Amino acid sequence: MSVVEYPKEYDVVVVGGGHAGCEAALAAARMGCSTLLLTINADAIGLMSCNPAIGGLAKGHLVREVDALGGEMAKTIDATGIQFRQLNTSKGPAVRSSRAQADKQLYRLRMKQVLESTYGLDVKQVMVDAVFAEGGRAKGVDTNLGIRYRGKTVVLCTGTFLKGLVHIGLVNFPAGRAGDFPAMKLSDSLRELGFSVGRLKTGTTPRLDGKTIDFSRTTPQWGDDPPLPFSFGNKEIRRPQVPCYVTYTNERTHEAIRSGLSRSPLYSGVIQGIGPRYCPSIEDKVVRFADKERHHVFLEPEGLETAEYYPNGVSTSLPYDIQLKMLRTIPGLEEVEIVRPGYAIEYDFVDPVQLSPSLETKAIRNLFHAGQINGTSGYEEAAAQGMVAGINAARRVSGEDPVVFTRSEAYIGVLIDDLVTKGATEPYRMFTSRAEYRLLLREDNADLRLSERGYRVGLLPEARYEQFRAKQEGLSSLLAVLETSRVSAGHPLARAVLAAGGAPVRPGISYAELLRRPEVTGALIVSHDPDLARFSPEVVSQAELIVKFDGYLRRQEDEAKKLKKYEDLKFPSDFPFESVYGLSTEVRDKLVRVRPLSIGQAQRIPGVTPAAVALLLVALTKGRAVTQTGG
Amino acid sequence: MDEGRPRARAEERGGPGKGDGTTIVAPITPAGAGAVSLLRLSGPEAFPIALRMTGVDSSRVSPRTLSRCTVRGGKGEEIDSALVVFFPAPSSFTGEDVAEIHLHGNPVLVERAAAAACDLGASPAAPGEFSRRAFQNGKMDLTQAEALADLIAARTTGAARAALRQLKGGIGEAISPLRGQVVSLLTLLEASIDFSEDEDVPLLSSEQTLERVSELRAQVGRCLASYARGHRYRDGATVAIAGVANVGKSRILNRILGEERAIVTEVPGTTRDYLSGEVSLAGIPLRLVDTAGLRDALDPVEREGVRRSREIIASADLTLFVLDGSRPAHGGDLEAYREVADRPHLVLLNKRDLPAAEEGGRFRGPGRNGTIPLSAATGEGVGGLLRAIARDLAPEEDAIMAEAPLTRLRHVEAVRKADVALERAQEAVGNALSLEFIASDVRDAAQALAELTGEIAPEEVLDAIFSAFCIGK
Repeated sequence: MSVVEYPKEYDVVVVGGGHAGCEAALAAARMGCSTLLLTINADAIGLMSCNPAIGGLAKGHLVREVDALGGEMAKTIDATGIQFRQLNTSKGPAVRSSRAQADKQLYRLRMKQVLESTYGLDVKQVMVDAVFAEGGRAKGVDTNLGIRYRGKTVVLCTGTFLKGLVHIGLVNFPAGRAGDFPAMKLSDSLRELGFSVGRLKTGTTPRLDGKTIDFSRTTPQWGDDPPLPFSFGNKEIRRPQVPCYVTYTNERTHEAIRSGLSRSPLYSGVIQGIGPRYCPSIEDKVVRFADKERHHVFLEPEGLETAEYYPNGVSTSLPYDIQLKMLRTIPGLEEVEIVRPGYAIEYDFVDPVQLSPSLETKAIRNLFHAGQINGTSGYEEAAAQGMVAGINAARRVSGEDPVVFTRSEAYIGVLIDDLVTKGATEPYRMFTSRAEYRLLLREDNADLRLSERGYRVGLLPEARYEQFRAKQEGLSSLLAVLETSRVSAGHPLARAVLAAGGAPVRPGISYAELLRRPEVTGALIVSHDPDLARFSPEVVSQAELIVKFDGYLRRQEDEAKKLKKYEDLKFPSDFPFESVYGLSTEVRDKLVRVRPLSIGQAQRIPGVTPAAVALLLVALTKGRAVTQTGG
Repeated sequence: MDEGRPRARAEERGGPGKGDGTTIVAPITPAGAGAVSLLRLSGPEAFPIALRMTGVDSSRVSPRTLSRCTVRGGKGEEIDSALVVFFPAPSSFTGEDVAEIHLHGNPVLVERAAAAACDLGASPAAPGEFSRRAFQNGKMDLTQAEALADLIAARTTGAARAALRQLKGGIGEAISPLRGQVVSLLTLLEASIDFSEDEDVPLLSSEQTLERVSELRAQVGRCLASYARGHRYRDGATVAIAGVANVGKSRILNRILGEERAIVTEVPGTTRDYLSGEVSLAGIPLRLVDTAGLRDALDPVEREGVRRSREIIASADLTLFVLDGSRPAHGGDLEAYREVADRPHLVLLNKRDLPAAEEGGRFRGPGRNGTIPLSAATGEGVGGLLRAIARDLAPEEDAIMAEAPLTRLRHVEAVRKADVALERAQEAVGNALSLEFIASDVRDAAQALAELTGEIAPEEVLDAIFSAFCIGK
């Protein structure tokens, strides 16, 4: 087929309109790049293919970070969320996460509106068949209509669409997601460019008709009142809030599931791709934890204007008849009708060790990958990567160095470092326990950590930046006041502490010292000193955290500093890992595969021993010595 | 001050591969016998630390020149009179500021001096760390670096079992069950943080958490105690022989050594200075020190001997306190026993070839591990004594640790770090801090132990969670 070139050359061409693609395209366009977003289905932009919710443990952190940098996900969920909850509030300030149910249709429409109203951003519906590259550089994409769109950079955010294969029982058919075309050719083009392409699997639940559910047999679960927004730019949530409902599977459910295992694509070996352990299907849970009597099921509304419900907890690829049989054993679902069956989907991904931390591929310059193509799962993980890929594509266009976040700076940094260092063997999901500097990476300080960067790269709007600066200045001045103000004898604060059941206050101690007592809160101090009334509750609770947990925070900061020296020991780009003297074959293969950028990254590659790191140091020093004598 | 004079505060130095900011310390001569032991400090704080330890006036020292000094510990106590030499960066072995202290060849002294350096902010050097810094700073040439690479390569390309042993080492194997328990506690804590939405994940109550942390601390404590014994396998143990004059101390020394070492006469105070001999017992190199009779002496030489005897007893791993069993104990015996009573010791009732006149009833200090009748003259009871010494220095419950006891200061520092972290976790539970802080402390403990067993990866904890609990909605 002859190729027709589209008359306009873009700075950034984004392939895919999911959560990664939207953030990538918005970031690039807002940074001043002429941007093209290509999607197989323009009605599915920003669609939540799986559960109708944003955030969750560790994922809420990612959303707040994306927001602190100037991304769109938080603002969109704030505008379209129908139930907001703070999770893990009792577990500590750093592991507290936000989660919200979305009105799925409103969410995608709002995201599409934002794309459409962004200057310099074109959206087109077309299927991409290949990355067009010359001389090791991406120069655009070729489509199934024979049109070539030229782009200085290309960002692939293909989700589950690469050779997507949907399984429902032993029935299977190609689809990008149930109801959408798959991209059958694009991953072959990536293979031809030299990428190693693998196969993963994920799944989703059936969708249920709400009018056939007996909610009286379930327990309603309401969100927080008042609901707290995700975005640092929003003060409140105005939309009416609705409950979810909790019910449980039982022995009869499990019996029904077992009766269908022989026709399960998972257990009959039809599915080759590797699925996520943390998001098992109900059949997997029943088989692996056979002695467990019940599993909970959350019935989540898909929106205000639809009767569809998402039964969180029963993701399945069992045959349709078994799905129905199994569901109808669950209290409240005795007469349920399925609107859309649950299914598993296999798709191609590109092992992310083939990427730099900027998310640019190592093999093809100007080509970036973000989201499920990198072996991740989750809207939030996708959005975070899309954001970074979009920023770095834009910076490539303007000839600037890429933006890379460290592990002690952001969950985004942990996510991307894990991907490019360890690769993906199963769909990767963020957990707070992946972050070794977890106490530093809180939802509440995402702006303090990242908004300066967001503003500098040209993403965070002026008004948001000023709001951040005000918080930052308020915080440092409050911290100073807490250290210098002292409780005099007869100070109302001293009486208040006694009244609250605390030990007597020694006159002359600083507010900060007082605040370190477990029973004393920042609010208590502020309410007894009129001079402190000017500080916002947000600043007060931030200061309280910093004062109370100073020892813990400082230890992690010191640890992060100590490890930084290894990050600073960089390998030159042509470093010959193949010929480093004395390495075992296994370690050498790993190093050649990942090609770490620094000693620090090399140390984090699983299986690279301390002895091997010592050898790398020798080799690195030798290289230097040679360079020195040579130059 | 000219270029390389050691100064109280290290200054930043540029250049390739500048040090990594920490200062490390370790003996660089083999432990055990030898006239001199060398303790090396390397890093930005090497000079300030060495200057403080030795009390040397920095304006009076020139680089690369030996100076006499007195090495003191943290409380100003004298450790040894020694020589110290300063090698300013970059003209040193490692390319960093290096100070070397030449101590007398006694493992106890070297260890105390190293501990003093650690108190001042140095950390114990990992094996090969001086060399590593040396080539990082370009101080080793290609041939040297390759020789080192050869050495390491031999380890990594060997048979899988050998490699594992090398990699983890005996010590790692000994520590890993303990670390396994720390990780298993961490797994529970992390599971209830990351998967609190999953009802399957059990929540530990604060009492349960406290109980598990306390149990872990008790184990860590036992590990640390094993160091005292463990390092004996490497550096040997000192056994002092004490008692008033003429109870037969020298004869007992000779019996144990199996040869005539001390000058034995019947005149009290013959052993004016201490005499010593070495023997191997239950795998432990024993240094037996026969002290001067503990009594108020008038002769200045003898007085000096008595003073040194006290010092030896104070630092010995075990003291054999000798009584003349053929006569009732007198005030002098009781007075001498005061020096020994609180230290680990055995009471020996010597001269059992004669009629017994003393059973040691008044010699039951808190440090006593047994009373043993014997006759140095005939050899009767000496076997029992040897068994008692062996039992005391290497108890059987240490059998596991004997395979790979904590023998090095670096091991102890790692275990101590774990202990400090667990102590913080205890406090955190006590102060009702939220789970993530407790988890952070337990993680620090696991991390500290990982220095002996290998790296901890977050995947390890996640893997454990996924295999133990039904996770995911």
